[in-house]
Amino acid sequence: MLSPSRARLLHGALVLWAILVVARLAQVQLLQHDEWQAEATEQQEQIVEVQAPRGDILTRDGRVLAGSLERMTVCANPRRVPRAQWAAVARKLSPATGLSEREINARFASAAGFLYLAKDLDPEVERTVARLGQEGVWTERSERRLYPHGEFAGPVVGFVNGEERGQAGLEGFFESTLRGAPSRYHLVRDGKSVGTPLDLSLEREGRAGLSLRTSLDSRIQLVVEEELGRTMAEIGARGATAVVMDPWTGELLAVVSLPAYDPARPGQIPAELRRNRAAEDALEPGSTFKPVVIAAALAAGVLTPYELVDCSGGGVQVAGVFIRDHANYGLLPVRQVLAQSSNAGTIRIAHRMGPAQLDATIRGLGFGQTTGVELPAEARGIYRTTDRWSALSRAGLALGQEISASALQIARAYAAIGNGGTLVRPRLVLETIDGSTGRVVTPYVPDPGRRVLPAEVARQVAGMLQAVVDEGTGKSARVEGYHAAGKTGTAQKAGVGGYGGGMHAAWFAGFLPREHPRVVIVVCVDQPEKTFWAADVAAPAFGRIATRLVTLLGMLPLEGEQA
Amino acid sequence: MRRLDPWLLLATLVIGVCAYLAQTSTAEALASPGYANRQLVWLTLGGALVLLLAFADYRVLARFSPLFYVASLAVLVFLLVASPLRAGTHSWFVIGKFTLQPSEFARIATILAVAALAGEHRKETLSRGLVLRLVAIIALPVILVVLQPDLGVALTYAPILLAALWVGGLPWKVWVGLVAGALVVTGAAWLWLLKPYQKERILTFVDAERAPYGAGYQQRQSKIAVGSGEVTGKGLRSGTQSQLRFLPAQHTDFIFAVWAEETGFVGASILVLAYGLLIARIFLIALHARDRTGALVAGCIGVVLASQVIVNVAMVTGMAPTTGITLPLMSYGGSSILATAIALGLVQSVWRLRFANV
Repeated sequence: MLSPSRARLLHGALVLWAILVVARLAQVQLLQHDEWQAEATEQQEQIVEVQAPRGDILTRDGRVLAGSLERMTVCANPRRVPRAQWAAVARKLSPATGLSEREINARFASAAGFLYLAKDLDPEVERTVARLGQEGVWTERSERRLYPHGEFAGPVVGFVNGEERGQAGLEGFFESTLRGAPSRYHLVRDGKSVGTPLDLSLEREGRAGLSLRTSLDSRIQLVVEEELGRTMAEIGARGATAVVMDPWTGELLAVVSLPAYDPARPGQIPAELRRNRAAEDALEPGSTFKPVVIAAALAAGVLTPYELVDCSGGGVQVAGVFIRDHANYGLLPVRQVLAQSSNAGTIRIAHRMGPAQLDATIRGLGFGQTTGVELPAEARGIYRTTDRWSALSRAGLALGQEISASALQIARAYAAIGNGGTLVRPRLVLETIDGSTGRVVTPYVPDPGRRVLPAEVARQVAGMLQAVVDEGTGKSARVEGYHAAGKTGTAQKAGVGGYGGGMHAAWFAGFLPREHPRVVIVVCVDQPEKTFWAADVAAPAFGRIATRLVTLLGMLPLEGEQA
Repeated sequence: MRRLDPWLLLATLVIGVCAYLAQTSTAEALASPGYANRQLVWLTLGGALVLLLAFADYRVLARFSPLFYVASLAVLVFLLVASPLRAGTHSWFVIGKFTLQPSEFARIATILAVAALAGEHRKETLSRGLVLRLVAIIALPVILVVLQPDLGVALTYAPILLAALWVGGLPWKVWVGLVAGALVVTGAAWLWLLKPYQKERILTFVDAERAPYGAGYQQRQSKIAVGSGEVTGKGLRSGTQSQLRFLPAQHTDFIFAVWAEETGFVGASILVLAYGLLIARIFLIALHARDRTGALVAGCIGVVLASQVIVNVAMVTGMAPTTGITLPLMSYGGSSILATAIALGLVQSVWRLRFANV
């Protein structure tokens, strides 16, 4: 018979067991719940992102500067491929992947798990792999960025890195627009067939990458690249940049930066040269800044357009420093001060104004501020606030010193002079387009700009700039049969220890036709070698570009006027 | 009916309902509705068997136990010789769409035989000769089941001997000697006899974390299922571990994990308490049995059921290594359910006849 003491022992053990198990359940289900739930979620759910193709970059006339090509990557996980199948898999994949059978076998043998067998393959390979139907071997869609025109407009277009992320130029600035957003899928996985989606639900709808229609005109871009390239070849220089802009809308028709690079092979030139000089380099503008000072004096009412300015003395004494002029010009009318680029005359005009009066026009014309062009790393240039000006500052500014500016900043200041006094924003992108449908997503919005000079002042300065080309330092910028207006600028570059290192920047900025300009053209050659005078380096380049644009754009010659 | 134990009936009913609900869930996960339907058939048949056996006289059945025992041995031998290999063992008879696992029923016959033999012994303590005969009675079917081979089921025979010795009255000092001897033998074997790779195998068996993709994988999945259940569970047929088939052997060995995931701490605790009540009542019935045979029948059945429940629940909750021991009544399988029902019916019979003077 079961004795009561032995039965009690059994019952006691049973109660102990029940307490132990319930306590264990409480521990696992209540105390550790979050931990186990996290493990459950981790193995049961997965987020997968599918990237849409990257948008194209087009010229305004529809040429593809950057596009994407659909490619395939063959992936494999040899641990999921039975060893007995390796030889057969290698034999069938060899022709499609361009790898030898031996190589495929070797890569299978050395892989610990997942591997990319071959990248950047023709999309056809997808069918080969599907026909193979081998578990552990699959394809993934990829793409390759193409730059069909190579170096053409390369520094504007920029480039992408190995992960197809924009790094410079428009590719960098519009990275998220071009890239779009990947679609996110929420995937529920099954314990029996890991990797096979059991339940796929779209968590976030992606957005296809948008294409950019830029303002660049492929014909004008070509002209400027050729002519600036010729200057580089003939004169030799560290670099050069030129921009062509519509002075009324700010649309950039050509932006050239030399040395250029092929966006497909950005590594071919050193990283420090891989930049867009038009936007990123700020140099002293030299005498191209003189019209800004004249405009300021005219706007301030301290100068009339037809008075005679004292340009005598072969220089001028400012705060104990004698600043030399090219010659002793005596008395010159204002237009001749610009035409001869008299330092003494311009300094004396600058000194008629207080710092605030001069500063108002300089800031109004956009100096010391970025232009807002759609390019990364845009230079703001150096321009001090008046409280930090010295006794020499006005004289320095009269010569285009104590300030630095990018070609784009100079271009928009000259555009304001040419268009009657309105400051416009240089722009590179006209609209964004959904590449698959051709639908315009972000339409063109004109920029009204803002008035920064009285129209009369702008007209007067434009007339003086025509004199520069007609009878002054800008003669080699002349275009037969047309009124071009512009100004040279030969700036000494400050090296270590100040000016005088023999390094220069040669500028020419101008527009044509003077009466109603179609284009603003700015040329800047950085450290020209054979000769450094802007009149011999930049002005001829301007002239050649302008001459070809006249024909290209169908500008009408001025009847009855003498060229 | 009034003479049956209502608590034992209640516990059986609660477990039966839980079993059916859990099987409807796994049936959906495994996309085979047959599992749930068949489990319902077995549970219903089992209920009938409980009542049938409850109104039978266990003493008469014990008298015929040598017949059942010898017949069982014959069937086990026949299985080894004649039945085709199925899932790597000779454990099953295939009859049309159904399979029958005779080792489950042979265990009842063995219990009856043990109870009948030890019940004849009229002394307070067991004699050495009787103990050896009991060992032999249990060893014979165990050997035949091991040969099938079905180690899981063979292991469930061992508690019969312990129960018989406990209820039958093996002296305390012998128990102490047995435990001490077992410890000494195990320790000596570990220190001097076993080779390192054999020790490693045993350690892996005990500590599944050592093999995260083998036995450890199953236990991890089971703990994830139990642990993610929280207070009231994810709801019936909504357990992600079972529905997404991460949980292995979910309708058999790991059915308790399904239940714990879908009904949470509340449901799992109710089930554990139901098993506790079931077994506690069986031990109480053993205490109140009118004769030694009745006490032995109930005691052996109680210990066998208890050992299965303890080992299975410990495995599912990650307290013990993975073994092939199923959870009585909950796990899918007709033979197991019907054999358990017969056992519970015998226990009810012992209760019903506790005052009988026949």
